[in-house]
Amino acid sequence: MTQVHEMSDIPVAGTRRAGHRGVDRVLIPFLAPAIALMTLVLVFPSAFTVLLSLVDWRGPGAPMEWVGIDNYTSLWTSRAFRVSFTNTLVLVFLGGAGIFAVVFFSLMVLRGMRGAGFIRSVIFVPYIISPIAIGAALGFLLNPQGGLNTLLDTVGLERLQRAWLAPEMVFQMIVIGLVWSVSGFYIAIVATGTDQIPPYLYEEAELAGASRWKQFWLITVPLSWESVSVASTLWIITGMKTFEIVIAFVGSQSSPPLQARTAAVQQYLATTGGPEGVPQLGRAAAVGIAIFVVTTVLVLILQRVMRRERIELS
Amino acid sequence: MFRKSRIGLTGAVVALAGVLALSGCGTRFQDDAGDDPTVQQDVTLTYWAAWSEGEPQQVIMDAIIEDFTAETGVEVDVQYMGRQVTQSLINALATGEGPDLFDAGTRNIMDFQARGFLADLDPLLDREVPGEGVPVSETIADSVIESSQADGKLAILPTYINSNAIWFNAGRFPELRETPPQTWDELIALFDEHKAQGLVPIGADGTVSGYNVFWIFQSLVQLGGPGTMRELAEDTANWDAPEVLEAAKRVQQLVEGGYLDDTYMGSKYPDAQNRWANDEYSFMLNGSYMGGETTDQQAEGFEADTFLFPGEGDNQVIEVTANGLAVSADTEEMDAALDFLSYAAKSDHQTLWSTEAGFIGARSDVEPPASLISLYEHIQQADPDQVTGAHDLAAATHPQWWNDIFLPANDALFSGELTAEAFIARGKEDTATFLGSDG
Repeated sequence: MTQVHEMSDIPVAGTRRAGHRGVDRVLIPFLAPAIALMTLVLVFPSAFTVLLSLVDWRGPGAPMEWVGIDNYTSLWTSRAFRVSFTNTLVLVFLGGAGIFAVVFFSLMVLRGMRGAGFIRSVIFVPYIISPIAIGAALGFLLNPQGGLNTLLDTVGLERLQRAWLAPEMVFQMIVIGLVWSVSGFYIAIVATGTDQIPPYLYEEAELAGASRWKQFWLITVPLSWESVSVASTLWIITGMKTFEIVIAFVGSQSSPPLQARTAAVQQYLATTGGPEGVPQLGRAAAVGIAIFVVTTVLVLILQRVMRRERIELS
Repeated sequence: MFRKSRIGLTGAVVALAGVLALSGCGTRFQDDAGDDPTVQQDVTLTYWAAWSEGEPQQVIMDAIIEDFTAETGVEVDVQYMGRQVTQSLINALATGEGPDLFDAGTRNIMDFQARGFLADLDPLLDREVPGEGVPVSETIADSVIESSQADGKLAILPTYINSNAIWFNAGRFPELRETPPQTWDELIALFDEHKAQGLVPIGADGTVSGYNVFWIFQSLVQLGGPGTMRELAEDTANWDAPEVLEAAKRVQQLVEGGYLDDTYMGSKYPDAQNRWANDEYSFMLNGSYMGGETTDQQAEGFEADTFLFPGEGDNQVIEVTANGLAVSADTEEMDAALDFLSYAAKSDHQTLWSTEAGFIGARSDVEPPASLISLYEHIQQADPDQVTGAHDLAAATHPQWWNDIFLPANDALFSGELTAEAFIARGKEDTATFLGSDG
């Protein structure tokens, strides 16, 4: 019975009372399993990763040597890490711009169109396919003797033929391939917002003489802002971890060419040591933490930038 | 996971009795051993294989195990775990939960030795190959034994060999079988001759950094001896050696000589080697596996063959990368494991690596596939002091330097982005940074 009385004192959010300490004690048994589980699967591994980033270690059986922050400082002096990290940021921002350009353009064009749902589904299909398969297929398509150069030859545009996977082009191709393969997913997310917009708003806007572009900026964007925010956040997290498609593009016979690498690829190389090497787990942990920190900062900045008062339709 | 750990007390006693019965007996598997298959009953060796179900190596190991068990009664509990076995293997061996037998090779035995994973297999060299009347040591060339050692002790029973050489179509250029180029200048003259005939002398899948690096690797070790490339990671002063600049100039000469087509740096594996097999390129410097990989693509009348990258003076450095079977330092079945290895060393078993998998077998008397006979003969005759491992073992011993510094710098050299001098400057600068933070 005592507990019943105490339960009735559970504070409502934002109404903490003086007697809340006693209430917390009651909550502890309920929270304990979740806290224990999270400690086991999240806190311990995270703490171990942080510890690992401060040592030089090739893995079980090898000595572990304390190196302090050397694994972090060596990242910033490493040409390979700088290039891969710059590539990652280029991919997140320019790739992101490309994705959301495709998203907005598609939604603008498809709105009210017959068969829009079907077209949206078709655009979504590449997202279902494994990035490995997409990367490998695009890689062979872009080979010097591949489909693209053959097509250019057939239509008389030989002057546009390139070695699309050569060092100076390969990362651009990877970004384009990624934009193509994931745009359908972000269209689906943003569409959850745009689908809620009442059609009469567009009808009234048309009667008032607003162009499609104006309708898009004055109706679609403000009223789908939350779904755009969610999609943007997901893209930053996904983009910062881009890995498989790079490997698929250039193959796994060797370490990927530097120009094609992302930060996650650098982490993979450190984790495995590459095709012939041994792991450098301390460095791999440092790269992983760097990716995590930058991702977190970018997400926080994004959320701040995209914070808006919610628009309610009456 | 570890089958022998599930053996009950009775089984353990029987197993121990079996081991004791076999101890000190290096000729266990004479022909008459098959008459008494109960000799080592209840002894089980565990083996984590780096092969996958269905590939030739798995079929070969199954055949060896089946014969071994039929003749000896010793079971081998094999798990085909594929190439990704390495991390599981390291974790298991480090905690004493690893298998008795596992696959290893020149590329990783130094690391495994440093971790204390490897049993000393020197006693295997003196064991008689069952039914053949000769010790294992007499069946394997010195150069191959050299590549199978870590810290001067035999670390694996070598089963097959990888190397690299310049591939050509002997059906089209038969004279190169008898008179391959002997010097760098002769090689360049050969390329010039082919170029003058309107041929594309060299093919390359330029998106594979590990293939692009073959040219500088060979140039460095021929000019400076084994270890020259590996030592670039260890001291920036090594970049100042004249042979390093000379090696880089050779690569620059290839690029500027127009011996490759215009798009080689964008070529995705295996396009270039398939085009070579279709006679679109005259030569490719690549691993000994390339002939086998292109068999189905080879043009009519194609006869894949190799000649060595030219040596320097009397020196001819050659890559001999051994692959084979290692025994865990923690094994409780050492004698049975050595028996298995001596059994796997039998001629009819070792021959399978050539006939079924298309490799150069480790045994000297195993005839290699026709395309590898020339390379095999060079390996057999190689001076052990002139032998090096895959990529001069630079990738195995300095993986971060290799992946982050040397391969990217070499790609820049091989693509023509950097001159030889700029390559040296960049390599030296990045190595200094690397050694400053990691050295």
